[in-house]
Amino acid sequence: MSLIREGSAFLQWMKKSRGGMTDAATASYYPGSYRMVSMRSCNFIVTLIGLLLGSAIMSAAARFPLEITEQGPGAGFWPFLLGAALVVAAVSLALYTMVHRAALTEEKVALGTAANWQAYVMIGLILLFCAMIHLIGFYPAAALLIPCVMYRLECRDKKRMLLTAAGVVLFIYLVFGQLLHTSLPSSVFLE
Amino acid sequence: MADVITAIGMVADPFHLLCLVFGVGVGIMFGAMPGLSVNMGLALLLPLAFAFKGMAGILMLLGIYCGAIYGGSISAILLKTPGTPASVATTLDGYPMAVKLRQPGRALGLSTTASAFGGIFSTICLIISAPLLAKISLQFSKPEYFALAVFGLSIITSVSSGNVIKGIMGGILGLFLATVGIDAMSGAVRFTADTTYLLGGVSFIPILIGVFALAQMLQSVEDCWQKSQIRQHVSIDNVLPTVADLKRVFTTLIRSSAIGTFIGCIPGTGGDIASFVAYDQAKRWSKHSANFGNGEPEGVAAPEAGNNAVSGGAFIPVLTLGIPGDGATAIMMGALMVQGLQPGPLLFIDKAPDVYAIFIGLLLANIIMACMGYSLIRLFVKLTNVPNAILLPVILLMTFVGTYSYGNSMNDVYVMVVSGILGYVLNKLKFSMSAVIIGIILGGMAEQNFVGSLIMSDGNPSIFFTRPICLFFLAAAAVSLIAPLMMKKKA
Repeated sequence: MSLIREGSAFLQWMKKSRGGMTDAATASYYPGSYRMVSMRSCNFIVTLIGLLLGSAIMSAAARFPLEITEQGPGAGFWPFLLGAALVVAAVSLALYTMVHRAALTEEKVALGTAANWQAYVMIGLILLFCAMIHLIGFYPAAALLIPCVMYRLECRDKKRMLLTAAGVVLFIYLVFGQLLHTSLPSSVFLE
Repeated sequence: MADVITAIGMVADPFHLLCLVFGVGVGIMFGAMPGLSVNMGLALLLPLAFAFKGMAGILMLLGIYCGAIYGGSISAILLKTPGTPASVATTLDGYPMAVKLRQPGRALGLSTTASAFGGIFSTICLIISAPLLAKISLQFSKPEYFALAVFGLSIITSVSSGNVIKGIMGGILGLFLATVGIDAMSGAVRFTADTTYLLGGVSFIPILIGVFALAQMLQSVEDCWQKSQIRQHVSIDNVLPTVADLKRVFTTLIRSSAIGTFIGCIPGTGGDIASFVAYDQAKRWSKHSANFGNGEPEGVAAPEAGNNAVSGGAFIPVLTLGIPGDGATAIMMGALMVQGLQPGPLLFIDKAPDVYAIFIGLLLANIIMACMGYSLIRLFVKLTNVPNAILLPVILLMTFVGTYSYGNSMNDVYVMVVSGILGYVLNKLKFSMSAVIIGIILGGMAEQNFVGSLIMSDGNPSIFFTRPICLFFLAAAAVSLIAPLMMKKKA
């Protein structure tokens, strides 16, 4: 039950913070625990990723010759060495984290604050922009992206948004399209 | 001498000069606007530099590099918000001089003079020392080059990361990414996931734009959340320094420039360290040390001369040994490589006119920077007021356009976006993205010389421990990696 309560509170907090809640308001709404992650936890996640990645590199490198002959080492030797080094580094990070446990628990990484959410929304917009480039082409997508980004950055002046969008798109068209002859992606429907 | 004349001819080309002036102007703009960095400016305009083939693009990037370091002082002095980390020390006396003493023109004039002096001083040191060092490094063979790559990577990871182990992990990741594609020694196709896109290897330009421009832009979005931007309306009178001020800071300029040049030579350091060391030494040696922090002219000149002197110093290991000292020089090195100039001692033999053109370009960039600083300072001050709501979408679009125009490929754009998002997250976890980039750049050099060394020794790895220079670099690499961990343990 407590897990459900916690989860529901967290979801509500996410909803609020995405809606433009300030850091102070967020803190009062939900007392901090989900807003900051300790560096200790982050280090263990990084260790895990490092171990997995290192093992994957070693396994992929093992498909190539690994022996050192008179003609030098095989094509897999160097990447295998790097994979092994990554595993060793990941284990070292785990050991380091365990030794400095107290200090790293106190050290917080901000990953869920309202300010973080602004960046995450921006990442969402960027991914959407990638899809829009494919669908409607670069110039129309850019003309749509600029006002959206400006709105997220708290600009509410419609005239300024339109002028900026038009000015930037025109600048890119003149410099890259006309002067440097770069043909920026067009809509998939026009190809 | 013929090479020098050819180089002068290359730089004197009107289009090349125009590119240099444009680069300096853009660099000052990037430096002046808080939130934008030297690396971001270089990364964003890198694809444009490739569009201008040959020396024009390189000169433009040199201009951005010099201009951006100087530009950081403008917002540091007027807003107490350093445009670049290298200008943090400038706020200590620059801001009090501009606000408390109401002498913004004097502070900006001193910073311009000191920046130009530091840049020119370090370029002269580069011109004198680089050919000598290149001659020595000509005696290096494959094992020494391998050890040098390891040393370069180790010192960068140990100095630039918040955590040495994470720095090492980043460096290894970069080295691995460099193995993707066709192996230069055996011809084997490695880790391409059966795609033609990766056959030529991982292109580091999209990654570079992602981690230095897009990740920084995302960080700026976060930083400017619900923070009102300080708008500065300042009237600037005379920006030319007086003779009395010049006399007062002259010794400081020479000392700080020497410090900056020396620090610039050491991979992994940079303008921020140089400016603080220069400021500290200026305070220690000054007759007016009690006045430091209250708008002391030496306190403005020292950090600015120090951080701009890094530019020439940082080029010494890049041009002579092919070892980039930081993110900015890694970008510069990447640009040189893409233009067919492989940094290293052979560059001084095979492409001597280009090397001299770089020297002349650096000198000219500092002179142009001073001229622009004295004449256009009011315009640059206005630029510090550009709202983030306009600036950030423009930068976002430029990352896309720049990446796409580099290879006319949407795959490059996807790589850039993924790198940018990863860079943003990894920066929070105290990973040094410079280590990843330098790993990618040095990866080819490290592997080829590692394999080449083992071929030389018939597969005997003792070759790395029996050659004195090689052993020295490897030992130094081990010390640079272990020392920070030991120091932390003691602390």
